[in-house]
Amino acid sequence: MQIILNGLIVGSAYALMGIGFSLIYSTVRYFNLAYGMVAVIGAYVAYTLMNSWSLNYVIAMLAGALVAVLIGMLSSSILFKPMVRRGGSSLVILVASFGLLIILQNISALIWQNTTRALSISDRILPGYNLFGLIITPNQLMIGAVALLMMLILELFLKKTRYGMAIRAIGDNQELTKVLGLKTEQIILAVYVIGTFISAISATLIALEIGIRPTHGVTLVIKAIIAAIIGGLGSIRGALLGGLLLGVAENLGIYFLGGQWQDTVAFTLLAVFLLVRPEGLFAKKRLVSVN
Amino acid sequence: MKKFLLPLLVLSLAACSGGEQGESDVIKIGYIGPMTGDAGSYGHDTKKGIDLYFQEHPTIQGKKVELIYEDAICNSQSAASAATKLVNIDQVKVIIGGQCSSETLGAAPVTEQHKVILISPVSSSPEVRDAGDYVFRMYPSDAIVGQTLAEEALKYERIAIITESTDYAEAYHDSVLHYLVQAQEVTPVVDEIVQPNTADFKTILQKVQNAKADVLLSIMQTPVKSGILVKQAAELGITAQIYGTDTLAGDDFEQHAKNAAKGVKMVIVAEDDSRAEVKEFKKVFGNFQAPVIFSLKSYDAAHVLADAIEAVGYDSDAIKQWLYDMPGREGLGGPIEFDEYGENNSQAGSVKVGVEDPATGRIVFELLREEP
Repeated sequence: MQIILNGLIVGSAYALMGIGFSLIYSTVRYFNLAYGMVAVIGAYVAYTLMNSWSLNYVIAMLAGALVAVLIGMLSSSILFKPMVRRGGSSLVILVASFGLLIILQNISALIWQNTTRALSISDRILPGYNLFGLIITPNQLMIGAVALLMMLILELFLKKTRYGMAIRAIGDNQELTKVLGLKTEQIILAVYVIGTFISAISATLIALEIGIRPTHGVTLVIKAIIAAIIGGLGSIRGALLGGLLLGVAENLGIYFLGGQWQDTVAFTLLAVFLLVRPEGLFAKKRLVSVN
Repeated sequence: MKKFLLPLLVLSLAACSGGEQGESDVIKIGYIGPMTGDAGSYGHDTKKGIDLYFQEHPTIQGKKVELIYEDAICNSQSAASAATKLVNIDQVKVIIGGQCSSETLGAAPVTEQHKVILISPVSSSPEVRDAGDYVFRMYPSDAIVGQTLAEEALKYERIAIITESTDYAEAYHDSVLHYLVQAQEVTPVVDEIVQPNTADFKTILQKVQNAKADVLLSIMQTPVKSGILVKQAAELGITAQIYGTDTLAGDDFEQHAKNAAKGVKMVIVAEDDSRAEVKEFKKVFGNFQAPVIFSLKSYDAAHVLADAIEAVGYDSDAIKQWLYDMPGREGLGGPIEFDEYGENNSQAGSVKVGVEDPATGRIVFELLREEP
């Protein structure tokens, strides 16, 4: 049970990454590989605010996420949007996003150096709590609680607000929303804001466990992509389940096969889904023409 | 016009190539080490040790010493590239490095091919022994130091080992395991290898807890990884005694492990604090980011190399022979005498333990002097 609990908690952070990625993908229909690195910059900003300004972890995390949002919006407006406007294919944008990932990674290494920075909610390392024989550490509690809260807020936003419904509509059929008079570009920008915000929160949560370093940008975007594909690209609930499944599978793999098999388990899971159920757990329903 | 351009270009390139080093009025010495990344503290301190030596002794044979530093981020491929640059572009005949065993093993094929001296201050993997004729090292092999860790582990009944998958850590693990299994017929209850990119150890630590291990050997490449492991073990309430290797201590370890570092033990080659020159070195050096012995060994590497060049000139074959023939001497970091493999196995491992410094509240590693 302890292994499954560990998996669910780390999986909830993966799920957040996957949800943000899926949300953006559902509206823009291209893979943005710089997504993980922008999230890591949010975590770095939180680290700087905590160490230089002695800000509280949660406030620093929110401030870091806002900076990440700004970078996400800029990357969309300056790089991706003009490429889409000029008819750039999704493959071209994928390559461009990889270039952006490398640039941001190197800038981060210049600013924060290439070492692992520690992020902590308290000055002392505290032992975990024993809940019915299961150990849950203060960091795990923070990760699980914030991830759950973020998912609830997002669910309410998407279902109960006009903007949320517009985002879901654009995800279902972009052309139809244009016909209905919705401001597509404005909604895409809003999706970038939400997706990047969620991802930066996730990166700052994961940093509690493994610290922050520039190369984490690649690791996180890979986790996000796997979670999103397992769940069904574009599906929020799918990404949630995909992230949790990935976390549990990785941890079971580490326990039963050994630590060196962690990545192998993750990619095997991805390969199995691509082979058996390429549309993922929750394939998005699409409007199809009936002849 | 064109027919004049080509010879002019050739002449310019020939001028840029620098010609023979022997005619130069500077002695070029290369350095390879991790100046950035999780092992950056080793690079910082070993570089500073070398700088200190050449600040005190700025010339050899009346010629100015020029140090050329290359960052290999504790990675064999980067070390090979750094060695290629130092040998082909800078045309150095001697290199102090690498620091991580991966760096030394990555650079050695390049330096061997070009007959360039590679003298490593702190690489300790047993594999360095066979890296080449021009390869020397100041730090004893893990085949020797690892035995001390194995002997410490044998004081406990149930031994768990977690090892990072790097050249240094895996070779160290093999030395420890060889001693445990072959010599003492003891099999660890947990023996796990983790990928270098792993930083979430909780599930593996759960295995350690389930196996009721009473000692945990953490064989990691960098103080960062050791710090994260110690932190997560404390959060899970693991009470097993944790032992680290010579890569454990440092600022980065403390930054991650915080108060959980208290009581952690490490096996390392210890400096002799009773010597006045070691005390003076510590005072001049200032803040150490890595264990003190690392900078002492790099200072010593610079010293023997400078003495060799002073004695036989800037000729790698002559320097190599001088180093092999060098009578035993006392360095700041301990005795120095190279065997037929270029190894200096004149010290064994000692045990240090993390204690809280009452003045600063920080965790410092002190030599363990157990009651008889």
